[in-house]
Amino acid sequence: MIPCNFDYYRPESLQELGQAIREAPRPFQFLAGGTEIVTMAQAGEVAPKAVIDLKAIPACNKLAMENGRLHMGAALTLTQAATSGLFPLLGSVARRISDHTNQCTITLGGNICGTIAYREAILPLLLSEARAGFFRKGRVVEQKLADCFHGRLQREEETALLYLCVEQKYLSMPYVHVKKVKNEKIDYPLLTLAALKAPEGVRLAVSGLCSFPFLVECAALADPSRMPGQRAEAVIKSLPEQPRADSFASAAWRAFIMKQAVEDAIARLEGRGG
Amino acid sequence: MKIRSSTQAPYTVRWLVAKALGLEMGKVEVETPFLGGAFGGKTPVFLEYLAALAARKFPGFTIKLENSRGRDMASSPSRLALEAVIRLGADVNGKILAARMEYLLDCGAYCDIAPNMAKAIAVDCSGPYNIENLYCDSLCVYTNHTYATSFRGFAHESYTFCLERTLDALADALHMDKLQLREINAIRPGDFTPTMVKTNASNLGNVAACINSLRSQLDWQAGERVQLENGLIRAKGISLLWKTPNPSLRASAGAVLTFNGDGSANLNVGVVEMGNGGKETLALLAAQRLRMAAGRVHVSFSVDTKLTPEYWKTVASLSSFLAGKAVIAACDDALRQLISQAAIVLRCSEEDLDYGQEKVFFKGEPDFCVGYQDLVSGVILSGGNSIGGQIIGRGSHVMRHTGPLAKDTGKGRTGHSWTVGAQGVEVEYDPKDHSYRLLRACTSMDIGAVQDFDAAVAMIRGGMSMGLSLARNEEYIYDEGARLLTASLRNYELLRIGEEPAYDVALITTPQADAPGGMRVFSEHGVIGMPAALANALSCAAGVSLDMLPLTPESIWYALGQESAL
Repeated sequence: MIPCNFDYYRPESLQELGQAIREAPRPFQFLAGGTEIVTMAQAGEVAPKAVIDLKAIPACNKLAMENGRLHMGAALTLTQAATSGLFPLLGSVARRISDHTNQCTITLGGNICGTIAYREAILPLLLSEARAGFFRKGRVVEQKLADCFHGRLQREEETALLYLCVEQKYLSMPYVHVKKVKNEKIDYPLLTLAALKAPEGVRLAVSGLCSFPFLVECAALADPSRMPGQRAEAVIKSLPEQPRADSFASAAWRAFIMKQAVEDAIARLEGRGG
Repeated sequence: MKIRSSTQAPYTVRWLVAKALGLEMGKVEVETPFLGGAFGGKTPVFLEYLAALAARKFPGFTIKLENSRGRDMASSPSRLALEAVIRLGADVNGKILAARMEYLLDCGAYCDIAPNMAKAIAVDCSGPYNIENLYCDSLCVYTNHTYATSFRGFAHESYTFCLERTLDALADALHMDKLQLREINAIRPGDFTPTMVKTNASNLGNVAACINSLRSQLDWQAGERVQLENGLIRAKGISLLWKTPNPSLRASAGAVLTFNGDGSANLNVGVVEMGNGGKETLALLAAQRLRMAAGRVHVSFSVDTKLTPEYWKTVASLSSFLAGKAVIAACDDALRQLISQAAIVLRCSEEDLDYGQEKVFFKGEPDFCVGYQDLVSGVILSGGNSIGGQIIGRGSHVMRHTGPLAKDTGKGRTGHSWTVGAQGVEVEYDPKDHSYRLLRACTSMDIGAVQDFDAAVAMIRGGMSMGLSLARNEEYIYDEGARLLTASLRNYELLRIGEEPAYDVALITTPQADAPGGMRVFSEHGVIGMPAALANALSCAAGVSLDMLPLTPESIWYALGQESAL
C-alpha cells in the first residue's frame, strides 16, 4: 500500500502536459510504467505530492519510421519496443531486462530515467547516436543523447523525456548483445554488453561492469589490425572506473568476463573464427 | 492466553511461552492453521514470546507481530553453515579401513537447535557406509551470524557434501570408479552404525539396490565425463544418502478417533499440515486400518492444542511413523469397541466377528451384520433400551529403545530406523566462462511400502530441487562488519522454473516391519545428496576440487585459479 496521498494528472496532449507541470504541487514525479515509483512509495522511500502520467500523450507512444529516423516514445514498454522488430538490438537488450512480466510494464523512458543504475536500454541508444526529445519549459527540444547522458540522464526535475530517435542506418548494422549474470537467467547484470559494427569500426557500450552504463572510448577497439584479445586488454585499461565489487561478483571476476565478452564480440562482428 | 502462530510446534510454543511468562500451561492455547510450507524454519519459538509479552501488558487486545521478508532473513533463525576436515584411509581395493572427522557447525549468535544438529551429524557421520574404525568430533560454534535452526535435512545435506566430496577424492587417489567405491563400502544389514546400532533389513533398507538403480538411471556405464564437439563438457556426479531421526526423548504422539452419525470418522491428531500431505497420509492410514473408503475419514487441517492430543513437533519426517503409530492404536481401540458393541447386537461372541465396508459382520455370513452408523452412538435394542455408548478410539505412541548417547563412547540409539538412497546429477559445463546447465537429477530411494506413488515422487523431487538450489545459488554474504548483505530475495538467489533439470525418481520398497503400513519416513530426504552430487559432477567437469558452496561460475574460476597458483 502506498502510504501517502498524491494528486494524479493524466495529460492527453503536450499543452495539457505543460499545464500539469505548472499546476502540480511540488515535488512531483513523472509516471510511465510505474514499477519504480510504486515499489519505492510502498517502501516509504519516496512521497511525491503529485504524479504526472505520461502514457496518454501521443508523442510518448509513437513507434514509427519518419523521415529516415525511427521514432520511439518514452512511454513505450520494453515489450512493445521488442515485438515491433524495428530495432533488433534494442529488442534483444529489452528482452533480458528483468523478466517478461515486468517488460510489459517497464518503459524505455522509465528504464533510462529511473534510479536503478543499470539502465540497460540506454546501450543500443548510445551506440546508435540516438537523439532525445524533451519537453522543457513548454517547448519540445531535441538533443544528442550522448551530450546529456553521463552515467545518468542530465535532466531538470520538471523536464520530461518524450521520445528517442535513431537514424535508420543504425537499425540494420550487425550487432552483438550479451548479458552475463551470477547464475540464473533472470537477474541484475554482472555485465550487459552491446556492440555494433559501424562502418568506422566496432563500437561497444556496457552496463553492470561499473557503477553506471557507458560507451567505451578506446581507440584500439576499432583497429582491425590488432587481435581481438589485445583490443579487449586495451578496453579494460580504458574503463572510466574500476569494475564493481558487490554480493553478485568480485571486481576480478567482472573484469575477466568483460575481457572474454569483448574478445567474443569483436570476433563475431568481424567474422573471425571462434 | 490464546496464540495463533505459523509454527510446526504448537505444543512447544504452549510449553515454552507458559514457562517463560509464568502462566499455567492449561491456560495457554495455541492454534495453528494450514501452513504454506515450513521446512524446519518454523520450529523455533521466538516471535511468540514478544507477542505474548505485549498481549499480557494489554489484556483484551489482539497483538499481531509479523516480520517483513528482509527482517526475517536477517534475524529469524536460518540455515546452518558447516566446515569440516575429513580423513579417510583405505586399502588398495578401496575398502575404507579408518576415518577421522571434525565438523564445525556455525551456530550463529544464539543456541536454538544447533547442538541437536551437531549430534545428528555425529550419529550419521559415516554416511551409509560401513567404517569399522571411526573417530568424529562434531562441534557447535557460536559466531556473530544469524542463528541457525533446523532446515530440511537437519544438517545432513551439509555434512553429506563434505563426506561425499572426500569419497570422490579417495576414488581419484585410488584410480577407482566412483560408484564402485560406494558399492564396496556400502553398509549392509548386520553392520553397525557410528553409534553402534546394529542394522537389519527392516531398520536400514537396501543400499545396494539403490546404487544399482542409480547406475541405470544415470547411464553410469556410458561414462562419467565427455567433451562435446562444441567444446562443452558433460559430467556426472553421485552421492549416497541416509538419515535417522533424532527426536527428543520426550517425543510422543496421541490420536483420537470419533465417529459421525453416518458412520464416517473424524481423526484428531496434532500434526501440523504444511503442504506435505501429512494429515492426508494419516487419514489414509486410518481408513485402511478401519477398512473404510478413503474419503470417509475426515481430518482437520488446523491444530488447536486445547482440543487435540499432543503431538511432539511436526519435524524430522517423523509424522507418518510416530503419529501413524498413535493413529493405528486409536483405530484398533475403536475397532475393539465396535466389535464388542456388535457382539451384543448380533448375539454372538467377539471372535465370530469380522469387519469391513463400515459394517461388523458374522464371519462367513456377511449379510448377518450391523453397520458402523448403528453402533457409533450407542445401540438401541429391540425393546427400546439404549446400551453401550459413543465409540471413541484413543491411541498414543512413544519412540521405543531410543536414548541419549554415552558420554565417553557416543554409543546409543537416537532413532528407530534409517532411510537410504543414492542420488546423481548430470551437468553441461562451459570451460570458457565456467557457466553450467543442470541436465538431469536422479534419486533412487528405499521408502518401504508406498502409500501414494505420485505424492512420494513429488515430495522427493521437491527436496532435490531445494538441494540443487542450495548448492548452485544460495549464499548468506556478510561484510567485514558482519552485516548481512543478502537480506532480500533480490540478491539471495533461488533456483527458478526453467533452470531445473529433468528429474527421475525411482522407489525401492523394502518394507519396514514396525512401521505403519510398512512405510519408511522420507519427506525431507530428497535434499540430502544433491549438493554433494552437483559438486562431484562439476569437480569432474572442471577438473578441479570444488569443496565450497555455492557453485557459481566465479567460484569455479576462482578454484581453478587457486590451483594453478600452487
